[in-house]
Formats: sequence, structure tokens, C-alpha cells
Amino acid sequence: MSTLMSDLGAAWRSVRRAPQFTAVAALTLAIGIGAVTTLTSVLDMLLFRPPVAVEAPERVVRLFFHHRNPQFGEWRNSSVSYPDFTDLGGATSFSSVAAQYSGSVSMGRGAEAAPASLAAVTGNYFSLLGTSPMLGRLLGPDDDRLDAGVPVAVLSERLWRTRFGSEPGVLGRTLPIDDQSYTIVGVAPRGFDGGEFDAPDLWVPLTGAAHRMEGNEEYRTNRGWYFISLMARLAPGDSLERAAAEATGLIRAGRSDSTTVNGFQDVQFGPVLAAAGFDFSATAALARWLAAMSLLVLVIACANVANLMLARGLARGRELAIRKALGAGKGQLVRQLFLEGALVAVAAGGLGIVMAAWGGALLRGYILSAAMAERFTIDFRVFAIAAAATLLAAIIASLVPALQVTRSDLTPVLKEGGRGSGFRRSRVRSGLVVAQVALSVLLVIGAGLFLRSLRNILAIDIGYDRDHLLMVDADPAVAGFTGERTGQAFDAMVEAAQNQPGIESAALNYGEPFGWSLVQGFRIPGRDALPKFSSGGPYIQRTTADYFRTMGLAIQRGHGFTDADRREHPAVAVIGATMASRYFPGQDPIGQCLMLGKDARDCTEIVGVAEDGVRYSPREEPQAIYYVPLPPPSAETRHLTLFLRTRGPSSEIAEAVRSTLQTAVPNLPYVRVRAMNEVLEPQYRDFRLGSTLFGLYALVAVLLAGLGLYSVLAYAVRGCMQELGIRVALGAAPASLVRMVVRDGMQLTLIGAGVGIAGSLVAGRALASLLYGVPAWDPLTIGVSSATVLLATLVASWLPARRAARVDPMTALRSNS
Amino acid sequence: MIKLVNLEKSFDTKPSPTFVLRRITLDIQAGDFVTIMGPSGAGKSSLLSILGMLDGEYVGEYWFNGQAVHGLKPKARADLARSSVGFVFQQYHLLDDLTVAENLEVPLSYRNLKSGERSARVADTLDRFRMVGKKDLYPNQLSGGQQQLVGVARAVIAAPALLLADEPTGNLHSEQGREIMELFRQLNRQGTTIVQVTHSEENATFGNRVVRLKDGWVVG
Repeated sequence: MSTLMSDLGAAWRSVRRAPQFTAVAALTLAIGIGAVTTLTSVLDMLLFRPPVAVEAPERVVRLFFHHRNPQFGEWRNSSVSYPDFTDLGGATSFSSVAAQYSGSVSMGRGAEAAPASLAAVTGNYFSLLGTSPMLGRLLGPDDDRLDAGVPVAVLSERLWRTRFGSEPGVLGRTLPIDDQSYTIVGVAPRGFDGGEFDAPDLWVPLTGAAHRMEGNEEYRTNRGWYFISLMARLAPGDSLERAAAEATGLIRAGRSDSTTVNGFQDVQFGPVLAAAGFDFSATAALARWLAAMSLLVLVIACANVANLMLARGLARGRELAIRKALGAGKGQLVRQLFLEGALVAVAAGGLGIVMAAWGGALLRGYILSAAMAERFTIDFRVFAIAAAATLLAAIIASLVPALQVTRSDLTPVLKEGGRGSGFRRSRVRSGLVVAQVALSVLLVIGAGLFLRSLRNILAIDIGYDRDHLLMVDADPAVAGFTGERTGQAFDAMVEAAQNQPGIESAALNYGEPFGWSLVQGFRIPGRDALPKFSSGGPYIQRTTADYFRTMGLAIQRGHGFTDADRREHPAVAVIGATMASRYFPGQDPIGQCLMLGKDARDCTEIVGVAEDGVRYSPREEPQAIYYVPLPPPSAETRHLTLFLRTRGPSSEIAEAVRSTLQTAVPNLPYVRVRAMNEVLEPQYRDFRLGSTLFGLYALVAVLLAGLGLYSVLAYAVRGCMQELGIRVALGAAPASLVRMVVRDGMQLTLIGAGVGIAGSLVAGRALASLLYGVPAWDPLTIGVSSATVLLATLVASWLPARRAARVDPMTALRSNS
Repeated sequence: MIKLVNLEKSFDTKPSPTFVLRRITLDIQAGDFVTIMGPSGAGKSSLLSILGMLDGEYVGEYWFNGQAVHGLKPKARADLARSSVGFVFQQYHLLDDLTVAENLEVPLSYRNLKSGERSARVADTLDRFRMVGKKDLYPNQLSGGQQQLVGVARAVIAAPALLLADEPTGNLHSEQGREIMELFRQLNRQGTTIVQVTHSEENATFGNRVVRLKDGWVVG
């Protein structure tokens, strides 16, 4: 122990004697440790950290339903019908099965309305999870009945804190949500989210909520309405395999008479953490990739510092040789050098945690949901991750060079005029530089691929004028408007919007791009068969006259609708360009007849062809979409969406428009106004995240690799000044010395680039699913990325090469180095 | 071949400059074997560096084969040195990472010679200095005398008109030193002009002329 303390003391003194070297090495390692700690802790929160206040979470599963269908291929979804849920009530391998659905609601009305996220859950939801309340009580089976009386709600701790100031007296208060008042009966524990990616603000009983949503109890028997997701707790002693088999049998039996089987295959399970399941696989996959990339950055940083440690160790060859001559064994020398590096690594680890805490906040906010990011703390798990990264750094950055230095023959160093062993030609040094360059090339290629994917997806023409469009969601029915009065309410909002400065036009639509749309088939007289689209459909949109102008969809043939069409509701339709070309190839669709619906007797005449607009995703297959005039208001059409065309960028006036519309109609629930770019953003989010973070990592990696190469060559040049002097004395021109040093550096770089490219081809296969419009082996991306790294390393080689060119042969030849 | 006229070298120090060489005037004919001697600090190595055109910081005139070296720009001076001068060092200064053959090739790689010709000259020189059997050895596998032999071979492989030797036997024992000096005598007989710096009176006897320096002045 005393020997260890003595060695630690010697290591500390040695580190203090080289403050600049120590600072550079610690900072370099800290960047890598900080990156790994940040991304790994994000991954931990997404995929591994047990959800708060859930008992034995490993026994709780989410149910996913695997389908296969000749038309749509293979897919898994978590949404099922209520009858599917009741079918599973007979399962013996589950001790409990709960259902839930979530949505956005309005808390309060009029000017005080605020948005909230709600989860409607069955009465056994909290008992299934084994959760206890923080205040009051949680929902139970008695609350989840139609005759339960006044509906009740449980608040999240977050909502209780932000809206009610953590008042204990909140219990028993009334909370208006949409068109209903709820009595607050409890508060969930702090941080509880039920394993959801987006934690809800409050929980309400599902039965009552579904009944109010639909206006009847048809949801209980409608096998075609998939609106709930299921969670189950395994019965004691039961296995996942038996539970899956039993659940599959029950679902299959329940659906056997149904026409909506849709190719159901089997029930599969996901963990209670939603992000780790099939629904969020893209985000989780990206998070895994980013964590892996951060590990690469750490390795590059370690290789960088290892080379510096190696050079420093060799430069201290005389000291080590004397120690050896005085009786130090190899193990003692290795321990001394390792401890010096370990001290640097520990300092870097502390700095890395600070970086993860401060700098990582931005990153966490980008990847995690707001609630999850808020819940993040620097706890023992984060410390453990940082400690593991620090240990890895200490081993790579100091143990490897320590072993290498003490392996060298130090005896010649003691002889007069002798020089230390050749750092310049060290295989370890070369290997470390090659590794750094290879990893940098790998990261830059990754960044390039994501950037191209992002560019490709942003370039997709969605049809709409995305920069000048606002989408407004409001539900006047919650404020008591029904039937014809619903139309009047929407008209009032349209008028208020049109009077708002900066608004050019307004239109109403039944259906929402990137949200929802209805399918309604039709017949074309004289045609036995109609083209099928892999995307399903045909999809019908019911809209007002200004829709096409507002959305920025050009009318390519014929004309659109007029205001009179909404009042008189003639049987006319405008079809999308894709539908025109597929249904009427080589023909003029104007004047053609569509018989809408199975039992249609009258013709709906096609009066126009409109430019295609995206229905649900920029990456979707071609769609069959057609438009008809919006009919007079009815219960069916209460869910209208208002679209506004703005003169300037829509995001700049969104809040002003919201404030205007919130009070345009009395007592409206929260009016949600979103710029189209905001609506689109989830489609691009993963690509933006990937390209930003890969780009950031790539930049850090290239800087580290360049710094590493510069340091190594600078050390090498300093170490071989005498050789350079000899070469000048033998006739070398400055340019040849520059070429020599640059060639030394570039040889290693080219090998590293080759290894990096090979690595990217292997790793690319796994990355391919995250890209769009660009193959993982894209030669342009690989070429440009490699050239970028080569250029950076050329600059890094150039600086020490210039120093070599200025060597004074007389000084160099007199030096003892 | 070489004509020095009032050549002086000094360093700027306070309160007054420190002179390393004072008004050196010297003629060296082609084929001479000149020994420069003097106590430590006399300016011997500095004079050798100037003669070898490694150092251009001096005042006075230096004529080499009728060309005014003192008036040349650094690049032109380096070109002239490359084509005309070979250096032998006290500490051999071989390149540790290169074999004997590779060390011999280094000066040739800085001249415009094709690869085939370079190889041929290396082979000739190895043969001439009876080092063929050692061509693949590294400097640390050779004795001091053998290393200096390689140093001499490297200095003459490009057939320089002038060979400069700075204490060439300083790190060798007497037998090895004698062998090197015999070699110098042989080269001189073959036409190479040699200027050596040495403390050894015995080494001085191999030359045909001695120039003595003291405190930067030529004193004999």
C-alpha cells in the first residue's frame, strides 16, 4: 500500500511538472468521456432505466400485434379494438391486462385554455403497474364504469407542480377538460410516466372518455376501430412464450368471424419502456448508433493521448533507463507510467461529467421527451458510466504506451551521444494514428450519409407551400356547438383569421395531412376493375373552395370549387394528379363520372385535377386522393381542420393567430395552431438529429485526429532534429524535408482512410435502415468524406513539416538529442 | 579552389560582439589535405561549417572555384554545397533507421539521379570500401570504426570536390583512427581535396598543411 502511495505521489509530481501536456491530454479525454457519458445515459433512460414507481417492471409487457398481408406486406402495431382487449380477459398467463389511449386535450376554455396530454386508462392500470399515489388516490375499477358518477382524474406530479403550485388542497377541485369537468382525486408519484416516451399530464378512466368521444358504446363491440394499446403483467411463474401463445390464440379466436382480420399473425411483446418497443424503434436505433459513435470519439481521444504519452515516455528514456539501472523492475516502471496516465484520465473523467451535465442538456432535450429530459439527474448510474469510460480511457491512453515504452531497449540511451529508440518508426505510434484516422473517416462518412438523407427528404416536394401554411385544430363541439352551429363557429373562426394581418386565405377541410384521412371507394361506370394502390385508399377529403389556393396546390386542369358549391353541394369532385394518371391514363378526366360509395346511384362529376399533396409522409408511396365540397355541418364533420395561408413565414404569426382564434368563438377549448413546418418536423427529426450529431461527432473526431497527427509529427520532428540536420548537411533542400514529414503523415493517413472506408462498408449495412435516398456505400459520400479527412490531416502534417524545413543544421548537429 | 578573404564571424552580445572568427584569409588549392588545429573554442568547427557552406552568417569573402559564395542566396549556396562538398562527422551521424546501403543512398537521393544509377553507385561504393557484407546491417550493429567508415563512404559517394571532416577519429580508438586516416590519404591521392579539424598531431601528419587557429585568428 505504501509503495502504491509512493508511486501515486511520484505520478502526481510528474503530472504537475508538465501542466500544458496534462491540460491538453485531460481536455482531449474529457471530450470523449463527456460524449460517451451523455449519449450512454440517454440510451439508459430510453431503454434500460426502470420506470419510476412500477413494481417488478420486468414482468410487465406491452402487446404488439404482428400482421402480414399481400397488399401491405408485414407490420406490427400496438393499436387494437376494445373487443380484442376483452378477449384477452380470459388469459391465465396474465394476472392483469390494461388498456389505454392517449390524446391532446384542452384544459379550461376561452382565453384560459391550455393544452394538456391525457391518457385514458382502464381501472386496473395503476394496480397492474403496482404504483402508489403521491397524494390522494389513483384510479380504480369503480371509476372506470359508465355509472361511476362524476368522472375523476389523476394529475401527474409535473402538472400538479406547474399548474397548481403543488397545493395539497388540489384534491376535490374540478378540472375542465374539453367538454367535461373532472374531479381531481390524486397525484401520481414524481417522475411516473408508466414507461411512456411522452409522459401524460393526467390520467382519466377510459370507459367514460371513450363514451364521450364517440357519443355511444359502439366502441365496445366495433372490431374495426383500433384505438387502444394494451399492457399486461405476467402471472407468477408464467413465461413470455406461453403468454404470447395464449394471447395469440385468444385474439385469433375472437377475430375469426370478423372481416377486419387484416392478416393477423401473432401477439408479440415489448418491454414496459415504450422507447424500447416497436413503436419507437427508429429513435431507439438512432440513440444506439449515437452512443456507439460517441464510443468511437472516446477511442479516438484515447488514441490521441496514448500517442502523446508514448512520445513523452520515450523522451524520458534516460530517466527510465537510470531507474532501471538502479533496480526498478519492468512492473514498477509500467505502474509508474500507468498511474500518471490514470491521474490524467481521472481528471478528464471529472471534467467529462461536468460536460455531460451542462452540454448534454441540449442533446437530451433533442432526443428525449421533455418530461424524460427533465427527469434526468446525475446519479450513480451516470457516475458508473463515466467511471467505465474513464477506466477504458486510462487503459488505452496510458497502459498501452507504458507497456510499449518499457519494452524498448533503454540501454543505448545511457551511452554518451546515444539517442532514444525510434519514436518515428514505432509501430504502436503508427497503429494509433491509423486507428484515429480510420475512426474519423468512419464518423465523417456517417455524417455525410445522414446529411444526404436529410437533404433528400427535405427535397421531396410535398405539394403544399410549407413555409406559408398554418394548421388550426379546434373543436367547437366542446364549447356546446352542435349541428349547424358547428359550421357557424368555424365560419366565425375563418372570418377572424381572414381579418388577421398577414393572413391571405383560409379553408376548412375534413381530414389532415400527416394526421388522418378517410377512405371512400367508388365505381367508374363501364369499368370492371380499378387500379390498386399499395398505399390503400382511395382517400377522400371534404373541403371548402379556397383549399387548393390556401394549401398551394395548383389546379392543373379544369377548376376547383366555389363558395356556392358548399351551400348547394353539387356532386362534383377534384382528383389528384396521380389518381388522374392511374385511373384515366391517356384520357382527359374532366367530365368523367365517379359513383361514390357502394350504393351510389348518382354521378359525381370530375371538374378538376389538382397537384398532388402528401397525405401522411413525404416518403409515402403514390396516393389516390380526391376532393369533394365540404357538406353542411353535421356530427360527422365536427372534426374540421382550418388551414390558413400567410403572407410571410407562418411560424412568425402562429401565436398571434392562436390568440385571435381562441377568443373568436366563446368558450372554445384550447385552439392549437401549428406552422406546417412544425407539423412536418417529426418526419425529419431523426435525420436532422442523425446529421447534426454525426456531424458534430465527425467534426470532433477530425479535430482530434488532426491534433493527434500534428502532435505526433511535431514530437517526431523535434525528436529527429539531428537527423534533419544531417540530411541538410548531405544536401537535402527544405522542400525535400517538408515532403519527407508530410509523406510520413500521409502514408499513415491513407492507410487509416482505407481501413475507415472498409469499416464503413461493413457498418453501413446496419445503418442502411436509418438512411433515405442514399445507399450506405454511396461512392460520392465516401469519396468526399475521405477527402475531407485527408485534407485535414494534410494541414496537420504541414505545420510540423514547415518546422522541419527551417531546421538549422548547425544547431541540430550540435544537439545531443 | 578555396579563397577566404578577411572572413569574420561574430554573435551579437552585450556590451560588445563576440567574435568566433577574426579576419581569416586563407587559400586552399585543389588536391590539398589541410588540417585545422587549435584549442577548444578557437573557431575550428565554425570555420569548417562556413567552408562547407552550411553557415552563411559571416562577413568577408569566400570564393569557391572562382564563385563568390558570400554573394549567393541560401538556396544557391545549398545547391553549390550539394554538388561540391561532402561531410564526415565526429559522431558519424548515421541514420539509425536505415541500413548501411540505405545510408549511402541518402545523399544520392538529393541529387537528380535515376534509381538505377543510385543503386549502381551504392554498389560501387560498398565494394570500394569493402562493406558489401554489411550492406543490410543497421548502424547499431556496427562498431564505431565501421560506422565511421560508412560515414566516410557516404561523404564521398557523390564524388564531391571537397571533403570536410570534423574530428573524424574523435570517437575511435587509435587503430580504427589510423585506418580512417589512411583512407583519407588514399582519397586525397585520388584527387579529393580534404580539410580536417583535429586535435591529434598524429592525424595532422597525414595532411600536407596545417592551419592553426587561436581565439578565432589564424596563428600559423
